[in-house]
Amino acid sequence: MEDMLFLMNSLWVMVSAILVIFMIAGFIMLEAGSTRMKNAGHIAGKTAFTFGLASLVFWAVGFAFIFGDNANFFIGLSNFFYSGSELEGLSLSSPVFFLFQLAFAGIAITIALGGFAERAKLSVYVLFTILFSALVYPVVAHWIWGGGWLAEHGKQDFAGSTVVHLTGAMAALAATILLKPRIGRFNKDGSANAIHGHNQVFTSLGVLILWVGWFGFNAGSTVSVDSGFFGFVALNTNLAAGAGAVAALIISWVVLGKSDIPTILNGALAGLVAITASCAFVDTWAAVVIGLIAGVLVFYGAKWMEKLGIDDPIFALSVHGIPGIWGTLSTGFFATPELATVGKPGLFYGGGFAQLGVQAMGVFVSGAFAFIVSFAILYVIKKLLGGLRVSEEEEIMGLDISEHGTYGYPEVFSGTTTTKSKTAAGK
Amino acid sequence: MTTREQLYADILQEKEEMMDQHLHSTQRLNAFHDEIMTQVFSRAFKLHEQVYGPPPCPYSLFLLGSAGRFEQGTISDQDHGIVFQLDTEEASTYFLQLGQTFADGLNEAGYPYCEGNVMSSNPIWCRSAAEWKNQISSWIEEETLGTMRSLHMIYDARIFHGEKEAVSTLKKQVSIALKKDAHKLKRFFENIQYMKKSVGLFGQIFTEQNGQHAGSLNLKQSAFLPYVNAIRVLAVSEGIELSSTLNRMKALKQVPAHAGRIPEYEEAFRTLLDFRLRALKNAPDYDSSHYINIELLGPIRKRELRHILKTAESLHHYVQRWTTKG
Repeated sequence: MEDMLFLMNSLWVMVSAILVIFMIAGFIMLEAGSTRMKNAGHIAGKTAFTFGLASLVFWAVGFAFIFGDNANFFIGLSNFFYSGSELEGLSLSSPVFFLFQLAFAGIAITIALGGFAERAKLSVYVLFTILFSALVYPVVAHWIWGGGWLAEHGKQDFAGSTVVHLTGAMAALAATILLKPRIGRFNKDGSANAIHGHNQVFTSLGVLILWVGWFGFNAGSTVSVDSGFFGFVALNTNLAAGAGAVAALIISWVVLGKSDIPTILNGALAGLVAITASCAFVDTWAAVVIGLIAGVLVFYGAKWMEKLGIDDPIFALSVHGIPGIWGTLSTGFFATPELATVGKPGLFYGGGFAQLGVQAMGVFVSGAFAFIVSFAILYVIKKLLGGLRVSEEEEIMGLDISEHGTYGYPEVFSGTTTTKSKTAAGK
Repeated sequence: MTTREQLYADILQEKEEMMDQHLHSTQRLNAFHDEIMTQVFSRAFKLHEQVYGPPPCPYSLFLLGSAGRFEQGTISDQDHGIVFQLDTEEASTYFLQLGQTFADGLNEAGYPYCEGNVMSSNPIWCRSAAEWKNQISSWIEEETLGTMRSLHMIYDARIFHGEKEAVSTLKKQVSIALKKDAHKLKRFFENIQYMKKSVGLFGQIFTEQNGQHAGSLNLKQSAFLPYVNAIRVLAVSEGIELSSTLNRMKALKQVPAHAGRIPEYEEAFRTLLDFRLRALKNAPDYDSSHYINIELLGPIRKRELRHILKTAESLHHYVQRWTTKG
């Protein structure tokens, strides 16, 4: 029977790992669709590449830093260059567990790199992927999931609103501040221009792929099939996504006079991000409320970023950052006594402010750490490479051609370049 | 040899220098535009006459669009047409050429060419009376959004040079056809049915979200055109040939069916004209002249604006009901 459970757990988590890795496809569609044609090939290609690179870093050091033994305050220190051997204390195949954790690390860096979109040098992507995957993500993951001090403190973050989403978003914030806004995003008087993505169908498909992948992300985080609890987690996940989309549609309709497609899509994602921390700790009605609030937050979050003069090209901050914080805090309100297997029940269930305080402290410290270290890493890279950003000319011609030499949409652009050069030659 | 640009340079200069003195009222401003355009026309006509000789027959040159309605702002593009009596190839060539010379002149005097090519240099807008009659019948017959749009255009015609009667005949043809056919009148309304919602459920005003005019309302799209379009539909349905929206409103007040409603709309429209004139005075450029920054309005002006927008919506619904009740 125990063997059976071991196999079932392994199988379920393997399926979940595949689902989470498939979320990279969602990010490819989402990011490429939300940006301009001239950068589409670059964005799609680098997203696949950085997942590959992050996988190697995770194998070499990431896994060891998060889950290794002989841990200090920041990190664990065993199982570097993980051999695939079975580890003690796991009720599933260790390589499956490794792969599942690797997938999360891959998602975190992908979110972070969203803040770099349409202007960072390719070399910056490479260096930052290595350093973030080694120095930023594993520390926060160790603190909360690897038996670190926040875990002992009773912090509730079931599948990573803080660990994955907020950490990624804080790195994106650091990047977008250092990179500065894309050309044409803001006018001299501070007013903002919309730089529309080139394909809302891609973006929508990306969102739906992420939505489906999220069942692996959240429900898979049970890392067990025990009593079929993953079903309940999946149920909460889906409710929050739906509520996020509904709230975003309503708020954009009321405020703008028209429902805005990018806002609706971001609303679904915000619901998913927010429920990630709380999906195993709250009742279904609370999942709906958490999703609804996230859908409103994402709308105002994007506006707020714009007011601050921050260019958040693919909404990494408003989708993963602000809802990530809200989702983490939400268990402090809604965690029920029956479900709070980690930490305490929330404020609305007689738990007082204790758990809310734990959540707030955890989210603040993790967010601050991720931001400060990412900022420092990028600052050093900036000095090292003489800038994070491609030249103005390269940014205008697009990163497809400037960084890779070919266009993602050759028929669209090659024609115009030929014509232009002909005209120039004609003169 | 003088280039064509220099032929109208003094008129352009006069226009630019004197414009500021004519911003007191929409009336004054449009009288000034008429004066400038008259100068352009007489010079264009002289140039044309030197090459092509005197006109082969009587003709009427009319203005369309905002100039037709006597509602131009400081800068607007040109819209005009010609109807001539003689139905010959020769006359057609003559007046098309005249139309071209006039259009070039206006362009040089600061009235840019019409992007939609509604100009008397275009054979569609420069025809003999007989051809115009056929053209309008087929526009009504076809009843596509495009041909209905052209009927809207022609109904704003205002005589600029020549016999008034010829233009009046065209308008009569439109209004008689639409009055006797409820379905056609409905199609005529459908052409302007789309109206951008600008006031929300909670009285909030929807402004531009992006760009230099973020936080501002596009007064032309959200308020001005809805009034103009809706009143034009009522004017057609009552056979009122006047072109300006205010004059149409005055005439509509005499129609018992509308007498009860129009004063409210007229009052709001007058407030709107005042709003627009203020925006024109303060605007740094043409593009900005259409926009009003909501944040800079005091509470009273804001309430006025909300009233203008809501009244526009109410007028729109009123006209919709009027045209659909058959």
